[in-house]
Amino acid sequence: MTNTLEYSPPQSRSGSRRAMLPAQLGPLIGLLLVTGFFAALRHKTFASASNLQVMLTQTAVVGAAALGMTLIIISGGIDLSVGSCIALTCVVVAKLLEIGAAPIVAVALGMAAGCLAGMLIGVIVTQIRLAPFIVTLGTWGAFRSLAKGFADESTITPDPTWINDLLTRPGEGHRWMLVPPGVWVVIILAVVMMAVLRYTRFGRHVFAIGSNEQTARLCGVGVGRTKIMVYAIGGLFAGVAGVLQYSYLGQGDPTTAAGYELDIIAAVVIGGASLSGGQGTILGTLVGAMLMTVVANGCSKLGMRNWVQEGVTGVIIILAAAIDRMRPSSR
Amino acid sequence: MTAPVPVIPIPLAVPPSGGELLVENISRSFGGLTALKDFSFAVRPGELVALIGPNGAGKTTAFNVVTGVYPPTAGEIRLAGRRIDGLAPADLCHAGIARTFQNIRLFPTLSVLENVSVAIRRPAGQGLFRTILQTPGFLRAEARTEQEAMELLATLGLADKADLRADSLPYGDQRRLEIARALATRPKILLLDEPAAGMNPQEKVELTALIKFLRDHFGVGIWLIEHDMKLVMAICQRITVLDHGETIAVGAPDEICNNPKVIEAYLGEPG
Repeated sequence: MTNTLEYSPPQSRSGSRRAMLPAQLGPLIGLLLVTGFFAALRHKTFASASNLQVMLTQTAVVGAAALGMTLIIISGGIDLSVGSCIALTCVVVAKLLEIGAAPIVAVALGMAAGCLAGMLIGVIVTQIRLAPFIVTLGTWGAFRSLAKGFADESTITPDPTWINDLLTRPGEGHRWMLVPPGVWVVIILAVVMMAVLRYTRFGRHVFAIGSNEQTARLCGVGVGRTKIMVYAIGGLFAGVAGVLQYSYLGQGDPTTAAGYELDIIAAVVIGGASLSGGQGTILGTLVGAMLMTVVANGCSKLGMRNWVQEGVTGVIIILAAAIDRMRPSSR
Repeated sequence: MTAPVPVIPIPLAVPPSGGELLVENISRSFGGLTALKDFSFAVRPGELVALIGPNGAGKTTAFNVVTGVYPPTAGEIRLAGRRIDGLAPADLCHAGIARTFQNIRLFPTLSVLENVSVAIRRPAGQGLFRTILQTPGFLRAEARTEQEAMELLATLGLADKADLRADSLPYGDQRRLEIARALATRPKILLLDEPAAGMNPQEKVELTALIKFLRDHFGVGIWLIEHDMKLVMAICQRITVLDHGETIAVGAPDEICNNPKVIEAYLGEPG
């Protein structure tokens, strides 16, 4: 009987592999439509090179933190304390400058503080096995209180250094840069993150954990280690955002970036990520962050009141998620 | 890929070396209920063996204990001479045990190719630093991972579906993808939990041929739980029969068929 059983692998029906529709195409079309809409209505004030620069600068802080949040959300997690972490880093940088540290040291230690904060979240999530939503609801308050304690509940205003120029327009002789150095930093970090997610084992493991944690364990993925890494990187990017926020404010304000966590999560979701994990892209996130800035900026150029902008942004978040659901399950 | 391994006749003595899985007198109870009692089993690379028994006989419990879902209450499990009972699932995978499930477990949001790539391990060359620098070593390792994953998919007839999302595949394809995912970890022993469940007769015939092919092509030891007696009798060298957590028979297919205890407990009536 055994002899009658012969297995031959079926031949591929088509020689070429079917290409998938890029997940970030939807948000990108949305961004172009919204930009086109405002540009048509206010081509002088909105569609100018200087306004484009302003919008990129405004997106830098949220964009930087959203890069880390993308990783966290793909892994099936969430970080509600990212705004508090930005404030903490911002204060750490200001405090260090105030006591006379070199700017580069202040920046490095500020980012290290963010990274440590993220690592702490990762350790609590994996070792005590609590839901990230709960853990970061706790650190949302704890990191904010730490920032306030560090700053003695006031703002710290050290003497200006080169850090203050990270988000200002490039001066004479640096015009070739086109956009402020801080924007370049975010762009470069985004490219690095794309490569990490697309081409490394770590990146594959992050997607795997978010898609099905049990199956990931079966495949030999070190789930705990990978998750701690994910939150540490998320904290590092929050640290970068904190440095940029300090640059933007010119001072260490412990109450800054309150509510940013929602903008940052919204950017990731508009970009096509799923809060249940396993999907999301860096390009989508950047498009999502930019889309929110364009809406806010465009609405104000149209002379709309603030409450209108907030409503429009809210509608866009829901629309983006709804359109994403309607997409066929082939990516 | 490893060369086809000849079928090893039913061995009575354990070979001195190799990747044999030895389960020695394991028991598992839940509260007062003994689900598995004094269970012993052996699978060697290149072998195809089955565990059968009526529903609730303790078959899946045996698989769960061996794959570290829960530890045995008594007994020892060894793979290639090394104790593996009590290891976490990720460590068992590294040791060389892979498994599929009655209810298919995949990465639903990832592509078919990614489902397999995740499970492929490469010793070095994919660190963060190397990725940023895009060193040639990294690029080569990356290309090899994808190539290996594609080869596995081709072997299982899924190559033209590599870019589809796993949850968009029909049921039979998902089953084969789960087997590809398990094989990607390069197991010494592959455990298949009711691979034919939910398949139509034609699919079962194909699956039977596939399982035999995998054993020969990859040289793995395959241990399967299956209700379809025709499938089991056609390809397995050795069969163990469980009933109420106890082993009631071990032997070659024809011996099992003619064993009165088995007929009484499981087959109901001869034929």
